[in-house]
Amino acid sequence: MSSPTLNESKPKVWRRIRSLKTEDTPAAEGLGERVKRLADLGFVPNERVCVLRRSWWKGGALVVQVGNATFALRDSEAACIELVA
Amino acid sequence: MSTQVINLTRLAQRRVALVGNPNCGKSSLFNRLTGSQQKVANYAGVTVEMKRGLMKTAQGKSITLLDLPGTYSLNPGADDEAVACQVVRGESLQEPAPDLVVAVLDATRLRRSLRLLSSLRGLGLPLVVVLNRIDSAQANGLHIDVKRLEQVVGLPLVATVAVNAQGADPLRAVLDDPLAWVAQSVSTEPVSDDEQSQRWMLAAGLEQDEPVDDWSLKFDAVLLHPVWGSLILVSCLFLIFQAVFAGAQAPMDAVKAAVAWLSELLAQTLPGGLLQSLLIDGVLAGVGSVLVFLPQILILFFFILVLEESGYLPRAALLLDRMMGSIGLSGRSFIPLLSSFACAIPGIMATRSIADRRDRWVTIMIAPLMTCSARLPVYALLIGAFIPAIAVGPGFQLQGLVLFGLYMLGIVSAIVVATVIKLWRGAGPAAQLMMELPDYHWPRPVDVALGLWQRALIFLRNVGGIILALTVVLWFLSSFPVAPDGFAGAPIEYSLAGRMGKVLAVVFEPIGFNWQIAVALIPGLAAREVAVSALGTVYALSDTTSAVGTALAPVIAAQWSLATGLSLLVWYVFAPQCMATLATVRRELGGWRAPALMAVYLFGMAYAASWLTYRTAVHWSA
Repeated sequence: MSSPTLNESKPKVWRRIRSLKTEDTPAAEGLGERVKRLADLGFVPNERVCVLRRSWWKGGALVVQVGNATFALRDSEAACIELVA
Repeated sequence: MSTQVINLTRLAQRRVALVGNPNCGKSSLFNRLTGSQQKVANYAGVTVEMKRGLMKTAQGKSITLLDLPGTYSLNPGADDEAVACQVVRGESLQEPAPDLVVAVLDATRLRRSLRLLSSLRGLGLPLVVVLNRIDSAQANGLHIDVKRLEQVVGLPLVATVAVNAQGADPLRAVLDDPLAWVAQSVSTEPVSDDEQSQRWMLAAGLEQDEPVDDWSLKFDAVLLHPVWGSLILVSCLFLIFQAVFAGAQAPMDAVKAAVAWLSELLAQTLPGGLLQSLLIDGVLAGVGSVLVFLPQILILFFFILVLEESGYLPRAALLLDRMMGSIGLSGRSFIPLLSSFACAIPGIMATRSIADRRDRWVTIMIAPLMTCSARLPVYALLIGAFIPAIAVGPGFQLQGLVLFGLYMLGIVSAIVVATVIKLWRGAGPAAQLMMELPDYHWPRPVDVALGLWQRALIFLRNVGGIILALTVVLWFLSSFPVAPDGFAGAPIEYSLAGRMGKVLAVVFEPIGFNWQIAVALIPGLAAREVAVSALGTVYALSDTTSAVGTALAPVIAAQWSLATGLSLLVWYVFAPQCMATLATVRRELGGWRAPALMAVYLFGMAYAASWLTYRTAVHWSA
């Protein structure tokens, strides 16, 4: 069973990051780069995250709190972040 | 090696690099230490190239300080980060590795800062650690034991508040310590940078969960709201354009009166003749007509600076991300495009923070369509001359509305161009967003005042430099050869510029430009506002009866048709009348292909849009 991912997380609920997706997915083009970048920005295992705002449109950008920094992420970017169940 | 001898004997040869996360205050620290005035603002990616300055240590020794673009890690994501990584790694072709790295930690984002510090240790360069923004961390309720953190990290570490006058002094002192210049041996324990960072925090007795800035969360609840946030964004922009017109009237009148007074004084004291004509018709009529617009430019910049400093800009970028996605761009392009409203050159340079090649190319191509502040004198002159100053509802002025419309026309055209590129060459996969939203803070009046002062200096330098020079050249071209006695018409029509204008007027006749405009457009290629000074000079020399002086607007209002005025307004929405922009595009994208393409498509659009405007206006008024 796969872990829940950040893009599916309920808004305003603090969670912890379990890992970043590394296996190939259908849209795997540049996934390695993307995951590396997310880790550089602070999306690292055991860090707490929280979706602050979700776009009204499907697949729109999310506003995410990670640690005490805030980032705007694409839905596909947030989908790479697996959470502790 | 001899270089080492120099390094040991002459400290001024020593080079220190500031490295840290984006927006952690490196440039503020740099400005504080070197007395420079580099641009600082509250978003990631303000500094996109290396800056160099001289600083003094506490004992008065000179050191070369390098300010590098911020980076989240030593794996660069975009071109600006790559600059920083290459320099500290010694891989840069322009700059050898520094003698010492100052790792600037953001005290409010400690875990992530320590991660970068951990990877910096692997470089084998001497390291000094600076804990910056310690005041903000304390305000957020985070208390850091600096001494303890220093022991844990095992490197010289000082706390600074770069925005305070004495805030950087601890760093000046630590650079006098010879031991700081020796690289520490790194423990060979193979742990990841994140693990190292967490160990440090634990050992320093710091909470793993750093406190969050509650105020920023509260503001974001409103400002990022899809409805309220968008409404606030639009009203914000609209207010700025109203203010540019409404607030500038009094200072503009003052400048006008001063130039008129000077012109009058010269006319009375100097003997009539060539020198009088050069000073009054050339210099004062030309330079004076541009100088009048300084207040409007400063008002525009006041708002831009406040927005930059507050931390709002990345939020606006996020609000517009979806809209920009539909034209094949991302929110990442927003800040470069917004900067282009000030001037396309820093805007185009700011695209270095866009990782995606295609997005960067498209952003550069449409950046000149954003209405830069150099167009303001042209717009203001023409609007003042042809659009009546009437109110069209509570708080709405027709002139402000037209100005807003011109800005919108630029934006809409940029959307059309980006869409055409998207349809023509494909959009490519959605570019990464991953954009940091910094904590809000109140703009510091000192920084805003400094920013305005710098802007005023740039403007005045242009007026005293290129605009003055071109005005004088144009005066010569417009005065010689001198018309023979009995020449019917104004003497300028006999001159070189007059004849050139008449030839060019054939090309511009279909879009309603007369020969005087054609003459002004040539020096106006150098910079947009030059056209205003050029018109001032041309009309001062054309009018044989009275001195035009500074009152250019009523003269053109009397001599041009409304259709011509509108056509020229529209021309300036598109025409790339700025050599410096094209040169910047060449530098940023390499080669002449991109700037040539840009010039051709923008002139093409300018001609087409002006033709349409002119024909419509003529038809309408007939």
